[in-house]
Amino acid sequence: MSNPILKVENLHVNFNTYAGTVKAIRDVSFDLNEGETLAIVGESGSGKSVTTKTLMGLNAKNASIPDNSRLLFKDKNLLALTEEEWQHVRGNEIAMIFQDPMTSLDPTMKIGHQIAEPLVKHRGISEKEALARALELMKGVGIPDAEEHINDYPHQWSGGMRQRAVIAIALAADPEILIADEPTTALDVTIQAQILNLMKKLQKESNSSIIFITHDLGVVAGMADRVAVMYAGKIVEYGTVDEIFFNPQHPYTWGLLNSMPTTDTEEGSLQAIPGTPPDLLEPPLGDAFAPRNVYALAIDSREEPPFFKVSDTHYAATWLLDERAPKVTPPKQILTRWAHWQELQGQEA
Amino acid sequence: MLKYILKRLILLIFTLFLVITATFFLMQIMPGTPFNNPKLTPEMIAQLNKAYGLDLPLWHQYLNYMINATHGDFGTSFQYQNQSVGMLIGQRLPISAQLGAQALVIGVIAGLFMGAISARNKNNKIDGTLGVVSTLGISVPSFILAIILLYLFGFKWPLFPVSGWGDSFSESVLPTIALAVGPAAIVTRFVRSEMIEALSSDYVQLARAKGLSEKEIVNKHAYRNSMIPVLTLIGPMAAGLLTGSTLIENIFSIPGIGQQFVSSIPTKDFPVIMGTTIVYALMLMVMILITDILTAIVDPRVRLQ
Amino acid sequence: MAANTEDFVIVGAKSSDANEHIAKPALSFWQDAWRRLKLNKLAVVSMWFLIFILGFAIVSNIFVTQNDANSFDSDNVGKYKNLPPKSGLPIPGWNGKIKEPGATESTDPYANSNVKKNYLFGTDTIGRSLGKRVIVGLRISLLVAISATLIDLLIGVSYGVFSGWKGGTIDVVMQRIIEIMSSVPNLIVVTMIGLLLGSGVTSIIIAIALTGWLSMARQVRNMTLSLKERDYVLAAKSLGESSTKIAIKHLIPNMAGTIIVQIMMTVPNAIMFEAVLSAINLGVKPPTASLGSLISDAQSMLQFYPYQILIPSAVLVLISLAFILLGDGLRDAFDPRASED
Repeated sequence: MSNPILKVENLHVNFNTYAGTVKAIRDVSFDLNEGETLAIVGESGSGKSVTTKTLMGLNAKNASIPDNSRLLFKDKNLLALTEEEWQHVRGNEIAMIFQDPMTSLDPTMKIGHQIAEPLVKHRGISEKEALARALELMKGVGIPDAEEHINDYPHQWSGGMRQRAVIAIALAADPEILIADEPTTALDVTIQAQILNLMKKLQKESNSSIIFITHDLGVVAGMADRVAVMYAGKIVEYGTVDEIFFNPQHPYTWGLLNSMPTTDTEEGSLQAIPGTPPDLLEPPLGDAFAPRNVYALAIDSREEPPFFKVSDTHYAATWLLDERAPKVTPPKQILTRWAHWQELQGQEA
Repeated sequence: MLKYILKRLILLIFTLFLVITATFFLMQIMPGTPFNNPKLTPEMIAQLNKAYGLDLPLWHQYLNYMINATHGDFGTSFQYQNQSVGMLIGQRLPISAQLGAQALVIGVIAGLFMGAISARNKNNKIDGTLGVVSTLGISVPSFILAIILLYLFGFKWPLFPVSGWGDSFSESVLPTIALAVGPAAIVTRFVRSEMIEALSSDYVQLARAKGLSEKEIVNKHAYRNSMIPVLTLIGPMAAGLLTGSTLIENIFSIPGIGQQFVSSIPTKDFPVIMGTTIVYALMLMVMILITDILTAIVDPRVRLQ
Repeated sequence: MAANTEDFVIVGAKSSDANEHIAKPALSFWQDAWRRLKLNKLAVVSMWFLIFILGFAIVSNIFVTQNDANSFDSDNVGKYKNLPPKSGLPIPGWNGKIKEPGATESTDPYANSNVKKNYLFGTDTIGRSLGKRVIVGLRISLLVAISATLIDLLIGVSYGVFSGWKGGTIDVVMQRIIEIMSSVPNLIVVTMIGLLLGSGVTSIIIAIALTGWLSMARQVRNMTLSLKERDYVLAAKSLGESSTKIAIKHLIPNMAGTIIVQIMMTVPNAIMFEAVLSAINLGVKPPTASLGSLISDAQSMLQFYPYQILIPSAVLVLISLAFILLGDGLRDAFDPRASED
């Protein structure tokens, strides 16, 4: 593998609220390699959005990050940056695509100017040059008749077109890392596919790395190289996209996969994960998923599981992988996936 | 755009017509007569009535008034003999308008400033202090503030003249402040809440993600977006201020239109009351129209139709 | 910590009943609003202050009558007139001493005129107790404010609900009427009413009610427009409930927050407007006192007897301030988004 462009080490993020301290991110570590797409998957409240905000240095004022947390971007610890240094990183080295294109563009500013803004800021070029570049970017993200529309206001555009503009803004200064926070959730299904294809195409052209945040495993399959599954402020399993889809080890990942409809889903076999995520004001002792886990072990309620190695690229934090643990039979659909995995492995061998 | 303005102007004239008609007939059912000086003999009153056209049938009077009004003639004051209402108002309106304009400019600029500062320091000491000041500002009516200012800076520490107008600028200082504080407080509170909303919006988050500094974000994105709703607030405020504050003019003995209006009530000087009413209503409607047009210019989402 | 093998037995998920609980006990809309209101200290203090003032105004009827406040000793006007506030304690400005016009030293008019009684808030130009007059004035001002608010509520809310509920042409016409009415400045309307009905409490109430309901009607109508598309209203409609019943059972309770906040703005406005009317001689008839008439009557006394104007002014400002603070608190309490963090 190529060398990581971003290393997240022991990230903790706490929010001080009137009710107490919310531990939104509890010890998260991951790497992002050059040119790869890492998907971070989880339910709402799992901490994936806080992770992205932390990567952009855009957390709310009441957030606190302990000193031993490190965000290494090209060996530079982002957490030690001043606000001014952050401004140089944002939109320039790390850019972000937002979730809702209907609200993320300034309604009172011409779209061309909004795309040109990061260029003026980071490249130090004139407004005129920036607008010329903005026009190219608009063409690049597939806006038809871009010349005619450069002076349009956001309300004149559809959601899909606006999301293309948001992508153009993110790409404007050629960032090395692109963070996409549920970039297709607010769009129609047909538009979703267009936007995803566009992102893939643009990534190939620029060789940038993407962190793709989503709750939708279906989107992940076509987009990501690697997947990290988050639950209650922690990563519970990570691996290549094939490993997560066909050889999942964590019961939470099983639950996520079983709640995703596929073409060969049998009727009635779609399973919801029972219960709700825990309150992060007082994270439970041991494995946070245990109360919802039908395969929970006695130890889960006392001690947090460490990461168990499945392969060089695949790790899962569940006591089920401990050698002392009993063999459990995962749900039928997971067994089908495992069988498929064996076939794949057999082909390779 | 032009078509829209034309449409609004027609509506404006129609409304004005309704207001004039309503006021005219209301004046007729008012008890009392303008000529109540006990020295006047019945013959003299009859003569006066004839001179002012008050002996004609009501519909005739109304028609006369309307026809004259379209020519810009709003009658002659009963109170000040031989002075036309147009002239009386023409003399006094500029005084009120100057005072009002001074207060409006100071009030609005101070409000925009304090509101923005308050929003950017949300929930800390600066915001708290400005919050207390602006809440006090809207709780203290302008005439009470005028009285306090007059007592403190007119009598206790006589820094400014206590009454009069036109001799020096210092005469206008106290009334301007008294009038400006209320609008400043209202604008502060309004801008603060609009600005806080804008600063927590998705497009400001995106602007932050672009790497813009907080200052650039406020100037380029937050201000414009929070100014749009403020505009709708300023329109009626401007109309109120420019047409003069009755009480402030009374307290500081400023010969403005408000003071004239008040003195015309007990003397039942109907032409002056009517003329002032028309000026007030017209000013308010024109200001609202200007506000709407300005809003459409600033806000690309608003289309005039 | 060494784990035993018995730690590695499957215990399974906890019962899903216990799992699917909602972290906080469910509070009704009103309970939740009340909880949030209590967090705002200023609003709570204002609320108790207003309750106290209201209670005081009602109870004061027993010990201060209209007559007490209006009558004066016509033989001894010179003796009792313009006595400064005297608390009986050596507090500067509240010790019964004042600089008389033309004098350079403070003197004690109580001693000079041989007045035995202490007037806590001083006396006015003809020797009436200012304290009593302020109490009566407070009653009148509150009466004006409350009745104007009730009328405002009645006209504004029903106009707004009707206009929004009917929609279509009726709505357009009704909104046009509001538009036209709001292009007539308040002062004009109030003056007309004052001239028509003569000065007095009734005409003040009518005048304030007539000008105050427009913004209430506009707000209520906008709320109605959005509420009538809600599922529960559509459900009630399809079940054949009458429009009046829907309005009373579904619409008005759901916009209560907006209405209450609007009232909190109407009341101080009404109190201030009463004062304006008194200042232009369209207010209460003398010798009746309202806060406004006390302020405007004492204007000429400002230079030498400032307490005569500052005391009623302070009462008026405190009441408006309390209403505004309580209104702010209620607005945040009814709108959870506003009080986040």
